[in-house]
Amino acid sequence: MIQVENVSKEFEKKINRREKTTFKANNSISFEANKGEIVGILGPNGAGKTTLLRMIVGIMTPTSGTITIEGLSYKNNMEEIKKKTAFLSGNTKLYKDLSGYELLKMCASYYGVSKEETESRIESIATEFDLLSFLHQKIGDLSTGQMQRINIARCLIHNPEYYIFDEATSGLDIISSKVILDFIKEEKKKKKCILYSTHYMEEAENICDKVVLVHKGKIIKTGTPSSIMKDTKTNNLRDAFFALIGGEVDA
Amino acid sequence: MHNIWITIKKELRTIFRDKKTFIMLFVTPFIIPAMVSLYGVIFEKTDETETYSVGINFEVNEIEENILNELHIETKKYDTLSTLEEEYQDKNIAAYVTKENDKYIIYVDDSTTSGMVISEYLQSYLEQYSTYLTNQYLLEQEVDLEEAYHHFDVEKVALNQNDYALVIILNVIIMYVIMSICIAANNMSMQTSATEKENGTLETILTFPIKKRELIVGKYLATVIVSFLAALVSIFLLVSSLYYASSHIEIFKMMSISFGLKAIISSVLVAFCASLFIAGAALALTATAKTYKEAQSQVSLLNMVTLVPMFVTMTGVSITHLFYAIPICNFVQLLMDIFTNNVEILHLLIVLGTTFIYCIVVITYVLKAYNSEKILFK
Repeated sequence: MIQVENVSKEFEKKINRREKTTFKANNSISFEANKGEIVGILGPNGAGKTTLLRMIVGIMTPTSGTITIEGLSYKNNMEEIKKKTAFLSGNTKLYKDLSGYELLKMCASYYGVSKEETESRIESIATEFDLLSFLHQKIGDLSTGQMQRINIARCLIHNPEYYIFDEATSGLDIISSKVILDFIKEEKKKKKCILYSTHYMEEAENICDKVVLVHKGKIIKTGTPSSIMKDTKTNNLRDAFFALIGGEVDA
Repeated sequence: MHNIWITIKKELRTIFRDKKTFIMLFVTPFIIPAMVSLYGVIFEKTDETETYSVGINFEVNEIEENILNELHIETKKYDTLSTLEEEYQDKNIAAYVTKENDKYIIYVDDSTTSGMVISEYLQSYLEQYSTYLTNQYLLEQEVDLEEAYHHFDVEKVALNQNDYALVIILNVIIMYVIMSICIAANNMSMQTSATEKENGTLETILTFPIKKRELIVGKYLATVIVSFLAALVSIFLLVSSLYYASSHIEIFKMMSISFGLKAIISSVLVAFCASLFIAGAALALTATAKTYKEAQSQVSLLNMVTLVPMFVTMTGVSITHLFYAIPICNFVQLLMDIFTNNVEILHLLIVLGTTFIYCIVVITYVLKAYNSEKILFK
C-alpha cells in the first residue's frame, strides 16, 4: 500500500533580485492506494501532480509529512522501495543511441535482475508488447508509439508492485494511449497498484477505481468517480471538478 | 560498485555511438602534428632570405656590391629622385637610397615587416661600408687594426639549450594536449549532465535503486576515461611528431627534447592527472546547467582557461614551486619540464597531491548540486 500522509512541498521562488517568496506546490496531501487499485491523481496543469508523484517515487523530498510504501519510508529503505516501484512520465525521453534491448538490459542491471532472468523477461515482455520487430533498432529511429512501448517494457523489467504514471498518455495518439491504458488494466488484474496522474478527466473516469482531485496543490475531493459525480450532482468528472472549484478557472 | 560500473558503461556507450562527438573527440588531437608541421614551414620560410630590390641614384663599387649581395639586396640605378619615387610607387623597388655629397638618405616604409627588414639591411650595409672605409683609413695611417679594435674578450654561455622562441613553440604544442583533454571532458560532461536533464532521462535514472553518489562517480569516471583516451592520443601524437620533427625539421633540430621511456611514462601520468582534474571541473561546470546550450556556455570558460599557461609563459614569469599547484598551468609546465628534461620529483608530487585535493572538492560540489531539487528539475 502507498500511504501519503499530510504531505506538503514548498519551493522558494524569486520575486526579484532581493526578495523571495514561498510557493506551496502541495499542501497537506493525504491518501492511500492499495494493491489491485488504479488511483487517479487528477487536476489541471500546475495543480501539483508531478511534484506529488516525484515525492512518491523518491526523487523529491517532502517539506513535511510522510510517504510510505508497504510501511517502508525512503529515509531508511530507499533501495528497497525503488525496487518495488516503476515510474513513467510522458515527458521522459529514452537514450536514442541505445537499442530497446540494450535499454532493457541496462535497466534490469540497475534493478539487480540476474542475466538469465533478464533474458527471459525481455523475451516475454517483447512478445506481450509486440516489440520483437524493433527491439534491436536504435531508439532514436523508432516512432513515438514504439518508444512508448519500450518505455512501458522498461517499467516492467523488474516486475514492480507499484506503478507511478505521470501524464503517461500526454501527447500520444489514440493507438499509443490505448497501449498504455490496456497495460494499466492488465496490471490491475495482476493485483498491482497503479497511481495515475492525468488532466484528461474522461480517461480517468474510465479506468480509475479511485480519484484524487487536486487543485492548486490541495486535495479538493477523494472518492470513486461515481461517488464524486453523485456528490457533485454531475454526469462526468470534468463537470464535477468545476463544481468543486466553484467556477474558479485560473489554474 | 555495480551501479557505478553500469553508469560508466551507459555513458561510454552513449558517447561512442554518437559519431559526430566521437570524431570530434579523437580528431582534435591531430591539431598537434599539424601545428608541428606548421611551425616547421613557418621557420623554414624564414631561413630562405628573400632578395629585395632597392633603387639608388649613385654608382656602387665592388666592395659595396659584395656587402649588398651578402645582405640579399639587389640595386637598380635611376638618375633622379622623381624616377626613384615613381618606381617605388609602381612597386618595382621596395625602398630607395639617395646619395648627395657624403650624405645617404634611406627612403623606406617602416610600417611593414618587409620594410623593417629592408631598413635594417640598408643600415647594416652603410655601417659595414663605413667600417670598411674606417679600416682603410687606419691601415693607411699604419695602425694595427687588431690592436685598435681588441680591448676585451666576450663569451656567452647558454644556461638553457632552448631559447625563448622554442619554449613558446613547445608550450603552444603542449597546450593543445590540454585542449584536447578539455574538449573531450566538456563534450562528455555536457552529455552526462545537461543532456540527461534536458531529455528527462536523469529523472528516470533517479527512480532506479542507485545512490546519487554512485551515479555521480559513474558519470565522473566515464568522463575521466574519455578525457584520458583523448590525452593518450594527444601524447602519442605529440611525442611522435616531435620525434620526427627533431630530426627532419630545422627549427626542432635546435630543441633539446627528451624522448626516453621515463619522459613518456611521466607525461602519461601528468596527462592522467590533467584528465582527472579537467573531467571534474567540466562536470562541476555543467552540473547546474539544465540544457545542453546552457552547459555549452558554461564549459567555454574551461576552454579559455587552457590558454592561460601560454600567456603566462609569454610574460616570462619565474616559475616557483607554488606554480605547480595552479591547475591547468601546472600540467602544461610539468609536461614542458618532462620534455625538456628539467623535471623535479617535488613538482610531480605537488601536481599529484593538488590534483587529488581539487578532484575531491569538485566531486563534493557536483554531489551538492545533484542534491538540489532546483538544479535537477525544471
